[in-house]
Amino acid sequence: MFASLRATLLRKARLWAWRRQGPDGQQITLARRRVYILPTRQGLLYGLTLFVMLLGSMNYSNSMGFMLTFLLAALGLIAMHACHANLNGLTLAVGKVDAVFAGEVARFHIRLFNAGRTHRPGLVIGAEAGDATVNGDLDAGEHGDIRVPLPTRRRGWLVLGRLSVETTYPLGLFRAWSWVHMEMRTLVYPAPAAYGPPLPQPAEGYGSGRPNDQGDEDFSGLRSYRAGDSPRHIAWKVSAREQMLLTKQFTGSGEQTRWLDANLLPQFNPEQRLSILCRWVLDAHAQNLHYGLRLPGESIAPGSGDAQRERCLQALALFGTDPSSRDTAT
Amino acid sequence: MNAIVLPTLDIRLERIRLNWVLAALAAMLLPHLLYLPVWVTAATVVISGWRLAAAYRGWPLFSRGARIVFALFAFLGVFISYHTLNGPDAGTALLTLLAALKLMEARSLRDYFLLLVIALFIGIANFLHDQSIPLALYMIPALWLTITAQLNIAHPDTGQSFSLSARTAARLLLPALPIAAVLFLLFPRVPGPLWGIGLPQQSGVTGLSTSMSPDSLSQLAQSDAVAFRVRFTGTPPPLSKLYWRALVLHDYDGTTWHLGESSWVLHQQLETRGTPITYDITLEPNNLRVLYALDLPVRIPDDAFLSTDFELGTHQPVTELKLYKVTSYTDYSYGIGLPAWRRQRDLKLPDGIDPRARALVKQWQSASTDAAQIVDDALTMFHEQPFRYTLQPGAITGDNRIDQFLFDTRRGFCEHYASAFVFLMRAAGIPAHVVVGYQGGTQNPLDGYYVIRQEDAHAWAEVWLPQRGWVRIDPTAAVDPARVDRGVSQALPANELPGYIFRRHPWLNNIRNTWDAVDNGWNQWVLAYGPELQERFFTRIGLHYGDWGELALVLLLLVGALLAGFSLLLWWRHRPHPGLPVIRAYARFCRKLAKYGSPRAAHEGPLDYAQRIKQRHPELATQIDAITSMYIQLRYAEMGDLKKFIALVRDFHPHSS
Repeated sequence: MFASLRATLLRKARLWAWRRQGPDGQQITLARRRVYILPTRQGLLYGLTLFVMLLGSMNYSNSMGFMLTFLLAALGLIAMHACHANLNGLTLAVGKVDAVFAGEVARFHIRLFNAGRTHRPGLVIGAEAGDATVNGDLDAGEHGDIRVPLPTRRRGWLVLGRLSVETTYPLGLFRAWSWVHMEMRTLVYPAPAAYGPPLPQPAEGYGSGRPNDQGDEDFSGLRSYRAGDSPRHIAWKVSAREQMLLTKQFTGSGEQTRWLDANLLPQFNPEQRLSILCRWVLDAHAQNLHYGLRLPGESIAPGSGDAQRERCLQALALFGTDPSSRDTAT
Repeated sequence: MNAIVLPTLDIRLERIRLNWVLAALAAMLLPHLLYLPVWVTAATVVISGWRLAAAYRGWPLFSRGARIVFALFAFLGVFISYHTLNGPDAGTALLTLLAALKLMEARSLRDYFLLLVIALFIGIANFLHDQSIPLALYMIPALWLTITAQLNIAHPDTGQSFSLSARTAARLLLPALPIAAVLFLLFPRVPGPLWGIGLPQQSGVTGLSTSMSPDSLSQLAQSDAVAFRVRFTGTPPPLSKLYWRALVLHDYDGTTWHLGESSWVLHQQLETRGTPITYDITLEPNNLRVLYALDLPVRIPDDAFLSTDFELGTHQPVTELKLYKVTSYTDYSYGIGLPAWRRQRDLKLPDGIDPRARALVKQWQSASTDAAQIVDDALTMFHEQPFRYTLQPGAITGDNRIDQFLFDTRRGFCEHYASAFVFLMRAAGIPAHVVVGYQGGTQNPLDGYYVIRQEDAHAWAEVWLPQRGWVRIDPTAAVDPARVDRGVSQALPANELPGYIFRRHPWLNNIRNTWDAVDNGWNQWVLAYGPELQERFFTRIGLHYGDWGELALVLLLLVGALLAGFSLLLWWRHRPHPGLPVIRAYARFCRKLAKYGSPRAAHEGPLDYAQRIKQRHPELATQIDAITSMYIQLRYAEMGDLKKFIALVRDFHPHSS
């Protein structure tokens, strides 16, 4: 019963905070009026302790008992102000965030900045939608980079949403917190299917029809190594000189285009289809193939390389979602 | 909160919390070791040690069964030691054992926090035994340590060093002091108690008791602890008149004098002569339901009452420092009309004992039956026979103790003389009883207060004479007049009394007087601050005592103003960092490099970062070196040309070079 009451109150408080604060944009410095504070469970116990001590001091007319009780009470008040000040004036800014596959944990980079002369220990930052938090300390005048984890379940846009920045520093008696609504989101690709049909064979008429020599003939240049590149294609000598792994690229005259087509998978439901297509895109990319993507009502022209992978995965991620939100994808 | 922490980190945090909570508990418990039964201390130490071994050596923790058994034994043990589970002493022992019990299972933040709360309770319980300046001084660092412990327990992962966290705790405690002072002065005090006060059983109060046996006062005289302090409003009476009446003892059982049955309602008539003497007494806790007053009190405090024997009774035992005002007359006569039951009671003697004393009385009576003459005979005997006033009377045993004293040993302290004298009077048919209290006192030249110590404890007699009523007779004065005229320290052999060293060395005595004046000031202004003093204080600062609305407003305003002051201080501490423009410019430099493909990692210091970029882009080396070294100079040494630095960053374009 208390849990549900608490949840209701929390929901109402969040709504209220959202209404009075509004969206926060790319960067926000926490102002006094948006740092909220309440006693923690320990704080309530502390308060009860003080009350019992006060009664005891009255009962025994004990002057030093009164003195200690009042000193601890004053300490609680001071700690409350110190706790509030630990957040007040803290700056948060949107950092970058990488796209992830559904089921992975998205990590939103947030930049913290402490413009003041006093360090801010014991900061705890977490997304309302997530269940994990990040702890941080910021020295005077220091920048800090934190990554707020947010688990993903579905493909599409994942909005960071409400971020809570809180602290119980110094004595753990009070929790000061602020709700931040910064504009930050990331794309969640469909989870690649673990098992599924093999990559479709190159379609007739798109290439010269040599299935085994997939464009390995003509060396066209070097690019940086990507996971999945065949060791055979690594330019070892050049890599040693450049201190980074480089992969030889070939543009074979016999390059064949494979169509990764949703229609090839009639036996699966739509989401499974997207999952398998995602797997295909990754495999095709890893094998440096030339491929295109066909979805009901949408198709991505054949191509290869990072940009092609990105285009295809994005299309898969946003397939069937509200087109208006897709506009902001680019 | 589900912060993901590695198990090793968890162990490290637990050790930090455990160490701190043990430090706080030890600091708060230390003064209690004087009063706690040894087994309680031993059990707590053993369990703390075990818990430490569990945290550091991987010893197993206590099972649930072991904890239940321990809890049962703890309750049983406390009950056996104290015969109760109530009151401050048993309560402290229980709290200590509760802390040990909680230590057995402490794991979470909540457990450790609860232990801290117990430490605070144990800490405040110290003041039930003792509210002296030394303990108050001890409690300052102890509290500081406890708050530092709380800081580290709440935030063990901030990795603050001992001195840094101690400084943080001090920064919280110091601003709390003025607020605490305001609350102490203005928070409305109600006259206690709210519930029953368990009498501290072992609190080590030395003082009078409700009976008098041989040795009880001579043992008390070994202590130079302060019994009470007096400030006279007018001219103080001479030392020989300072008989501080405490209790009147009527019943004798052959060894010990007891209060006997008393009637609190029937008042005896009193005639006073001369000028009244008004004085304020600050009474140290005596654990008795009696206040001390000069023979004989007339005007008494509201919460006290006069017994039929002119003892000053209270409804509650005096367990805390008590301030009160009394008016007495040293010239008086009372109880001229003696009711038969009173005469009966003060003539009663145990049958058959002390035949030689009774024979002596017979001998006196054969010369004269006049009561005054017999009193005189007894005093003459004490004066002329070789009686000695001493703290070391030697052992007196057996059935006929009065006989042994009067005819064999002839060495004794005031209780021996008073006891023997009253016996002789009763044997002669003269109503008589013993009065115990204090006699004399020493004036402290620094603050003018008279200090009466336990060594001034005294016993004397009152005999009833026709037409004169009850008359005080001090047989000790007949043995050694110096006792009454100049005080106990002059009368006894110098080395028999505890304050001997102070009398030998005047400079030591000056130190003692100074300390005593400080202690007295502490008593008068801090410890005695209760409803009465608060009312006086309010009147002085123009508040209306009893107007709670006004008081609440003043309290709120004052505390609010102090907190606002603290907020200003916080704002000042958090004001913008002086290196802000430098930091901004450097951040801009990092952004430029990030766009160029080399962002600064969160863990990288400026030098590491510069090193990495130079390897990757050797062509930028000179510019990067210049900017980095200037940044470090400006940021950490706070020297260099800020404008030049900003210009350098502005003109840094990695793409074009």
